Amino acid sequence: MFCEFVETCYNKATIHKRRMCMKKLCMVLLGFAFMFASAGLVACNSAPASVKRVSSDDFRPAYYYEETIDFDSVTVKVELSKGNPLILDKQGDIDTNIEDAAADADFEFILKTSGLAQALRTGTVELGHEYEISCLLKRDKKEYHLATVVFTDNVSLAYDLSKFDESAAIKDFKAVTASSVDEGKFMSYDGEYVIGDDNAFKFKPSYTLISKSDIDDITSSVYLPVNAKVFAVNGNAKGDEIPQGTVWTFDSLNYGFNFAEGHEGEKYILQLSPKNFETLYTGSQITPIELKVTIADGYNVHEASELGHMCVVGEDETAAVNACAYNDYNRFMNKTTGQYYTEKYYKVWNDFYTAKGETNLKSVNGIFLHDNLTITSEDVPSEYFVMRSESVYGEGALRDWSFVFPHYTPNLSDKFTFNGNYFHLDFTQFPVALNHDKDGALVHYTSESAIDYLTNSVLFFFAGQPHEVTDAGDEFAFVEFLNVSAAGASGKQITGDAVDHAAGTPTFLKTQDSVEVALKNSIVKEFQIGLNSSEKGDWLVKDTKIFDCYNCGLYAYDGNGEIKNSQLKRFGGPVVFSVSQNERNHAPVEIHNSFVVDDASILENFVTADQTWFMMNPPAPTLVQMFQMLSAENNLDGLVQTGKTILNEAGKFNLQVLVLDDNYLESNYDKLYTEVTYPDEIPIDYDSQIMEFVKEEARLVIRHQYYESLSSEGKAAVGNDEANIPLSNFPDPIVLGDQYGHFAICDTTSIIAFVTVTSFDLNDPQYEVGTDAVEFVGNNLYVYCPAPGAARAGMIVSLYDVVAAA
Amino acid sequence: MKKSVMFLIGIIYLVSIVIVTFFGMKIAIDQFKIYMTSIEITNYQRVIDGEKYIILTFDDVQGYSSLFIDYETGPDSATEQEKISFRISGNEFVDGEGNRSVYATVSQIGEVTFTRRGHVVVTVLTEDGSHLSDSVNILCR
Repeated sequence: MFCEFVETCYNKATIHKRRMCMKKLCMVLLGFAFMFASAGLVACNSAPASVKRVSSDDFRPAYYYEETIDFDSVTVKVELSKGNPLILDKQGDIDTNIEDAAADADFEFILKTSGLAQALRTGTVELGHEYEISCLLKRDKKEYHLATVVFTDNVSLAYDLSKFDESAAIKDFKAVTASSVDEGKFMSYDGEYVIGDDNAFKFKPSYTLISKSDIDDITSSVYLPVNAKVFAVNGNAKGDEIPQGTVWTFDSLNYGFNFAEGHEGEKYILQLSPKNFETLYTGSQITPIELKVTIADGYNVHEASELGHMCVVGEDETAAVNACAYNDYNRFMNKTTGQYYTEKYYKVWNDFYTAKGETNLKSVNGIFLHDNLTITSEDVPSEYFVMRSESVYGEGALRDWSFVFPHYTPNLSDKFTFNGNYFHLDFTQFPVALNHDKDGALVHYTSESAIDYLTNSVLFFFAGQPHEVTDAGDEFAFVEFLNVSAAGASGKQITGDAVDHAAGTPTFLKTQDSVEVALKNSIVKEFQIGLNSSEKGDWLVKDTKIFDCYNCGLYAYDGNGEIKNSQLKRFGGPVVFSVSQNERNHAPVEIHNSFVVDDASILENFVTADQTWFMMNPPAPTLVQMFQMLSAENNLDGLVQTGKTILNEAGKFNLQVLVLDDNYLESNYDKLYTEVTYPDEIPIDYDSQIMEFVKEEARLVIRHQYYESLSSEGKAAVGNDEANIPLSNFPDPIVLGDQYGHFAICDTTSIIAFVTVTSFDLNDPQYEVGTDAVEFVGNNLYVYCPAPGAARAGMIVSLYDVVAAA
Repeated sequence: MKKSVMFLIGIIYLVSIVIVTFFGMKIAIDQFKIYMTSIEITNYQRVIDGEKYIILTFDDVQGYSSLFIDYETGPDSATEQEKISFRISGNEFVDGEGNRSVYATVSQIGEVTFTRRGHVVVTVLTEDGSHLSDSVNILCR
């Protein structure tokens, strides 16, 4: 067509017209050329390609709820319709609009998180909610979807599990081994783990999580969800699974198993396995942790600050509780007014827990330990400790005569169990009482180093009602401590500056007023006294080790006791401090202390009379005199024949029992009321007419048993005719007619001889002096001593078997 | 005669060996014994939730990794400071069929060896009667 046009112009037009025609032609050609050139130039000038896809590798579909997302470091990949993809890392403020950005803001994109960024900042992320993450590109002002993100409680999203195991406490429990030889081990171990039903038993596993994204992130503090199961026990085998609900419930956040009441004595197997993990970090299969438990009535204690729950009293029971801090030593001081005031102990403990936000406090009938605990002043109400405003010296010291963990058993049917589950109570960091004086109603702490006082403070104290109040015959409340190890602050080496510290160390356990107590399979060491049983109530020490107490192992005051298969060693004073009641306080006297030591028990307590305990005690001068007299005659003929000595090779006595009345040596009463029975020996009763003899002679008298004359009926006997002396033989004579007993006779400085004494002899004391020594039979010497004034003291010294020791 | 004397001497010699082997020649000194009062692992790297940790990198080239547990005991005057033992736990690999195999060991001189990545707990114990111990988690990554 174009050619036809050119040909027509050429054929039909004049030269002029031809020229004009050619010009037009050139213009058209130029126009086309310009158009093509422009199009080419425009094409070469890279016109914007369209965005095909926007993505980011910085998001996962699901996150663990304790994770966070670092939005600031997100990069975006933009794929275009042509050319290479773009990697954008310059972002503006998260969740803003382009219009809101500053005009000169230098950014490439804006992240839109549908509120997730804000929720992460404020900790308000909603579990299970799908958060949409998108990207608003500055280049085209369009928004592109990047990811949908969900937060869950699945910790495996963020972490690998490198360890899932029992807690160290449960491992300790399962690793317990028993030994009668090793002082650090329990006498027996039956593997029974007891938990209470008053609150949750926390069966927290030991685990370690390692981050999938951060090689340095290794943690045990991130919560690990678990699956909890409970199984019945058939014999020793695992039985059917018990569904959660009626019998038990589970507090997942605290790994707490709660058992309903009414299942005491039943056994179950608790099982935990981690949720969402099938294997460990190694690829190894995970083994669930299990623990066989026995349910009991009581409170579970996992931390030292929970021990005081044995002291709280529910609102409906407060009327029955009377024990309180009331005397000059133990009264509390009002922090605001600076005035001392009398307060019941339970009230202070109730307030202590109320201040911690605990409500609905209730009395408990048992404590069950679930870990080794170190008890400090932080775990006890501050009222128990002397304030700086009271004394600069005494600041922080435990008030004397205070009962730190008191529990009340006002009803004779009350029972309390403290089961340590073989765990250890460490009181070595707990404050001790300091030396102090009284000035009227105030206590003055005179110095930190003076030594003239033994504290009367007690850690675990159980009080009932005075027996004359209850008038209940032989019925008593009952307290049982078992499977617990405990150490106080006295330390083993009681010398130098440590003495004052040791003298202020509280007693471990005391019962008073119609409370029977049993201390079983426990280890108690380095307290003031191991067990103090006072004012009615029998006591039993069985399968137990008591060592290194500053005062004595056992303090018995008006009760009957038994020491079975136990070891009591190394005390500042005697093994047993037997204090009988006198007529002044309890007339007429019908009762006295007595106790029996079985064949399997070891009472070993080598002392010298110059130890600090003797120096700090009222009867010290008399006791020292007694020891001096005994030590002066260590190798009497009568003993040499038996291969035994009074002193051991280090010149120390094995002091077993000290017998005094409750007014110590200030009493004017004639008799002591203690009867001690050793294995294979007849019981010796200090309540006898021999005390009259001692009184008249005013000299040390030692009595020993005649082994071959063991009586029938378990009563005391002297003489080869096996005549019985009634258990309480006063006013019967010690020997009758031609019967005889064996004694060692002493003057004020030495033992004169072991003698045979007849009833006639008792009436004629001069008769024994110079009498032939007889062969000594027995393991213990019973020493009677007239104190200055008119009172009496008695003690039992166990003989040192030179042959056996060799 | 000579033969019988020689024979007798030989018998006595052998009996002596047996007696010494059985009873030993060491005099018991328990009454003078000073027990260890502390033992502590010292080469841990961090404490997590109250537990000591050592982080070890597994050597893929060698196919195993190892380290020594460093510890200190006290007091210096303790009679039997050399009486130390080591225990290891968590060192078993359990496959999907329940088969077990040990992947980490500790020697009696405290060298811990991993043959694969894992997490074990090593405890060092005193064996002089004082019953002290300290533990460390070892995580081989």
